[in-house]
Amino acid sequence: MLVLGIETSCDETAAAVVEVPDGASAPIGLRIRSSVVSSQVDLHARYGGVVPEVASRAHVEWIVPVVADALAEAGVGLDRIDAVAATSGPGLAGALLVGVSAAKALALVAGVPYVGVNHLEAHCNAGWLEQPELGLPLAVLLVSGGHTLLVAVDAPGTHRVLGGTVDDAAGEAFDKVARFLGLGYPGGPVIDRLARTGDPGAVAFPRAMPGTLDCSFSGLKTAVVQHVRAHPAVAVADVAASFQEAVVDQLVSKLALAADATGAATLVLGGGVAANSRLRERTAALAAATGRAVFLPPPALCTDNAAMIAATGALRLVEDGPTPLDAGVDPALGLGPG
Amino acid sequence: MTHVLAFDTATDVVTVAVGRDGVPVATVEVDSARTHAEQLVPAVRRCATEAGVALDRLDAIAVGVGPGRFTGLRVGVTTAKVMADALGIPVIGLSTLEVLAAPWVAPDREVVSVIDARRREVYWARYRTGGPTGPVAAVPEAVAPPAEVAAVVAGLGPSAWVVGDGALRHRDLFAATGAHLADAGAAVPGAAALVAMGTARLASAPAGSARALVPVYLRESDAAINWEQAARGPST
Ligand SMILES: [Zn+2]
Repeated sequence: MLVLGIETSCDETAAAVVEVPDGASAPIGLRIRSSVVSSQVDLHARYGGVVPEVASRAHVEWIVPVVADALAEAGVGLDRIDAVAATSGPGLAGALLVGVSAAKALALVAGVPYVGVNHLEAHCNAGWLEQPELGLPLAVLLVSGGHTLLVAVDAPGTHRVLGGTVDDAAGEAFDKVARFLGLGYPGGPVIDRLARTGDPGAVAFPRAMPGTLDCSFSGLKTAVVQHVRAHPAVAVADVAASFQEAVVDQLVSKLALAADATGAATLVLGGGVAANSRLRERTAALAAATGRAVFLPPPALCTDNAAMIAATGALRLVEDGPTPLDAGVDPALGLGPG
Repeated sequence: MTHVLAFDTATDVVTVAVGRDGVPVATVEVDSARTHAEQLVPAVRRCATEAGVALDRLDAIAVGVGPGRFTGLRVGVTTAKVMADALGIPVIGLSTLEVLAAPWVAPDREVVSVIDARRREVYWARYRTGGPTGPVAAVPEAVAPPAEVAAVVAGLGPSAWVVGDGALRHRDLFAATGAHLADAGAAVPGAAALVAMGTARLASAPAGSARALVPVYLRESDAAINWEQAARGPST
């Protein structure tokens, strides 16, 4: 079975074709035939963050060529596609509507099922696309500009939310602090780069909500602002390194708690912030120190992509059947038990 | 025979029609404020079934590109361009204001189309009769306060007609102009005009590529406006 996936929940216009073995009921053994991502990051850079209206307009412009490229790279025509999946939530309402409308239109023309996919569930499934041998259960840390979640995966294709952020997403904190420090957008990569030349112990920024499975980053952002205002001569690299260390410390300590709570055999990262070099380093160290396996997916599978949407769409189609063509989008969709 | 699928999602109503040689053979209208994405594709499927026209027998897709509700426009334009590209047929973008005016233009009158743009503004344009594929615009499409448009209408004299949901939303203002006010039945783009204009356009002009089709917003996004104002600085 070939599934075409479409992702437009935020600032990436993406399409992918995934090949699913017959009767597969887990996101294992799937083959990515193509995965095309058109990033709008340059479009949003001058605003210092993702602007929903700008993102929605760009999706309308890019959706046709991105889908065409995904089919061409997979070497198939639409007539070979068995189902079309699209992210139906969570995400920016206007942006989600473009991908869902495109998927429904393609499903109608091809005469195949449409499947609406939960973007968060898809992130949890992404690891399997690269590494089918993950030891269960998994403790997954999902961190991006839009989400910060700790998820237990007891069996392939299932997920259980253990904790999340009570305010900003981790990636949002990177963006806000980078903007405050005048470092540009997106904040994650620039802070990651600058932090390598700074001292992570230079400033003792707070680590919020110790001992719980939830995270908080808004107090940390305020602490950075206050520190820089009080110490105008402070080296920006030191602030960046100390801020990053505080974020990573908080995330890794929560991941450790989650791993203990679930008896996780493997630690897995997902989401755009999973590309952060310090977070990858510290997660690997945690795994080594606690005798666990670790899987750090390549950045292309961590950031938003349509291969994870196609893969999850294939699973949902087997388990739940097609999504009706009159289904809408849900910008606030959560990750329920499943 | 020429088969055209035509739809418009710029207002609160989703209008879908399948036309044969310029005349609708099936029409579906759904009042669907804010739920265009839910309604449009099922409406297209129902309409094609009722018309007895398989999608792969369509010669073109015509779509209202606005101006109008941004999310509605994106649903309509995305659906049209994706379907057209997948079917390998041309897509024709029609001005929603022009489609609204089409049934009303006549040699002895001017017609002003007005679509509600929220935030105390309307999208509007003024049309005359005469074009082979539809009305001829006398002023370019624009967004303006309704009172400004009403002043223009008042200057056109009592033979003028005002159509569209924007005119009804500001009924008192436009009734006071002395012009004829089209009733609620003409507040949204009609199937007959969509099909007729789409079919005529297909015959007369080279259709645009599906990739290039975008909605007519007539407004920058708020962020772009704010950013440009900030970039210009407070002194100007
Ligand atoms: Zn994501």
